[in-house]
Amino acid sequence: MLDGQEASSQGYRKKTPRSNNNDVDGNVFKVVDEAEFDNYQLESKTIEQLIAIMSTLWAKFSNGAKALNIWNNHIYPRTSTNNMSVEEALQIVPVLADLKQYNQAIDIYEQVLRPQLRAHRLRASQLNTVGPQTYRRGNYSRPAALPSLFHALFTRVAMSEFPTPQKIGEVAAPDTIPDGNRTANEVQHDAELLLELWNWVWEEDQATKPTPHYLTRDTSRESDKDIAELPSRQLLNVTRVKEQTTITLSAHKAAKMLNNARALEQIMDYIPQRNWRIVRNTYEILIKEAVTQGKQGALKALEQFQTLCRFGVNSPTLCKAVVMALREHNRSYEIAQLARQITQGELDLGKMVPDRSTLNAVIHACHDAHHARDAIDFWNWFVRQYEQRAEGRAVTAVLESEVTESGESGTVTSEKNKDKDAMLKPYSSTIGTCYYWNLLPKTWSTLTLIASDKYLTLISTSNSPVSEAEKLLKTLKTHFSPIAASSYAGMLRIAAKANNIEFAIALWTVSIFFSSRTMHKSHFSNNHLCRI
Amino acid sequence: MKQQAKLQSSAEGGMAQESDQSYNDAVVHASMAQTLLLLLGKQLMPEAWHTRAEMILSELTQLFNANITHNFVNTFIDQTLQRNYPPETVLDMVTSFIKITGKYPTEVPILRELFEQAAKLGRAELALALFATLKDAQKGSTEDSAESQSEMYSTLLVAYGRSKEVDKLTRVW
Repeated sequence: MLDGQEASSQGYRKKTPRSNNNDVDGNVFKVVDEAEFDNYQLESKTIEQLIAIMSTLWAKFSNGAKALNIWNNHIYPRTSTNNMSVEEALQIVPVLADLKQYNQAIDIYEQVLRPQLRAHRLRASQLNTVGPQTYRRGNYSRPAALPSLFHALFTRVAMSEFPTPQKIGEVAAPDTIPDGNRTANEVQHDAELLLELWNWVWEEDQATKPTPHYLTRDTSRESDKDIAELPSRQLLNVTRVKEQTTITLSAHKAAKMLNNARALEQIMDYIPQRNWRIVRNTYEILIKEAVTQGKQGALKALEQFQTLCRFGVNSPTLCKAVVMALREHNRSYEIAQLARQITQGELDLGKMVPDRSTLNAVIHACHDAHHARDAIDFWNWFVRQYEQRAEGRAVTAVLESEVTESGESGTVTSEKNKDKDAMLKPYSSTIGTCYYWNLLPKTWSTLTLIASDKYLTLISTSNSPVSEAEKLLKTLKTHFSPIAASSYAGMLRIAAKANNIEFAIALWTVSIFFSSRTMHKSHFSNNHLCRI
Repeated sequence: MKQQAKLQSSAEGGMAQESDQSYNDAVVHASMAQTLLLLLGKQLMPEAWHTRAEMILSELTQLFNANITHNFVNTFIDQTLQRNYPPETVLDMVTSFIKITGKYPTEVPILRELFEQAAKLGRAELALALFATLKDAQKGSTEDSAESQSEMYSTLLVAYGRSKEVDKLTRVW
């Protein structure tokens, strides 16, 4: 136990005494001069009154030495954890923790509060209420028992430098802990206490407000910065971001130490966004583990990746790992959905762009899932990202203008036609841009195939199919881009329907020209030839 | 229509078995050529059509280093017959097509329809050639009856009668 002098020398944060105490309740808090306490006959006070005096000394006058003196000389000798009431414990724990008396705060928790919680006679949220006789929020801004306990346990765990396993399932060997005063088992016990407490908090939170959201919380007391960094979920009746940070990061540390993936996932939703590095670190572990666990693991990894992105964390490596895992298990639909979330900005990958093999996998998955539009949008998004990197290069814009100019008819365009144009544009420009990105032949050809097929489908329903098809052909010729024979066949059918001989012959000529360039005649056996 | 469906189905079956992309391209190009030839036949004069058709079929065969098959011929003529083209145009196209490819259709229904059309329009030369081909195609089949033979001769007679080349009929007889 520390005495007052020692406590004072340990560098408590000094608080500036406030003169405004109009919202303070109870007689003790109405004391306006610290010296008044010197006249108190402390021996005659009840434990509750002593706790109030101690709290006031610290909260109002920032006198940690005197406050600890009261604890050491008047409260501690007269009470023990055996006969301390829950109310008393709730009031003393935050003061002790604030005075860095972690061992005693945790001891009281273990002896008085924890059995009550285990027996369901005390709810976790009650640990976060501040007694009316002691502290009221306002000028004193004192923590409640709940964040104080998390802070105390966290400090004790963190001081022990317990090594964090890098992989879920891996267990840190106890004898590797370079612990000064505490054994590995003691540190583990602290972590277990932390996680147990978290679990009560989480369970109650889930039971009482299944879909809480930060928007519902009272933010009148938060700073703008705090509001901007609010977590996705408000935890129980914790109203301050700072307190929620303490609770969640402490629980996070314990969950990581104990390799409790389930708890880690639970905690993620509550961690304020400013701590994204911690989140990212954890999710990297979770995702890397999940992708190795079959189909369900891949789906889990996808979920985790989506959560990670919502925290504003950008990781192309993880994106690739998730996409590849999904592809391995033929989850093309999920990949297409992920691509859509990315292109529509629902998931922000920030400045980081997935590599080309990821692009390749996404395009093929979208193709397999018959999500042509998602493939095209993802491609265009990908190109835009790279364009933004390459200064002054705006390939898409140039190509789009080329296509538009070539197809202008000079007539007044109705709103309906404008809509049609908007539908056609991504496909026409995609075919054009493919030329500039001729680095992945397989993707290129798949994408061109998707784009031209889809483009043709749209063309056939447009008001001027031949003119649109001519635009497409012009784009293809301009960029020397061969497309699938089936696409030419589709265009030719459109031309035939419109009795446009010139265009039909042009299509045939271009098709023969490109085919003769790409044809590998050695592929043709006699068996093939006789079937033409 | 039945015939076309059959041919298409056979082509699709072949394509499914053969995964080679190049083979698929060949099939698609063959279909494109047919579409183009039909489009041209509707609008070009017979001579112009013949020239174009020759070029297109030559490009097709050169590109895939292949000869035109009976399947291709059957499909094209079947499609031509189904179009709502004037009968003269149909017969002009078919005559040109047979000349270019050197192949007659082999499907009996197609041959019979062509033969009847040729007879109606007095295209004796074409009718005679189709008569011979049809006889060969029907040989040994259930359709190769005396009644059928007699009907075919009657049709041929009509062809010659309408072509005002009745004198040549004796040579056939």
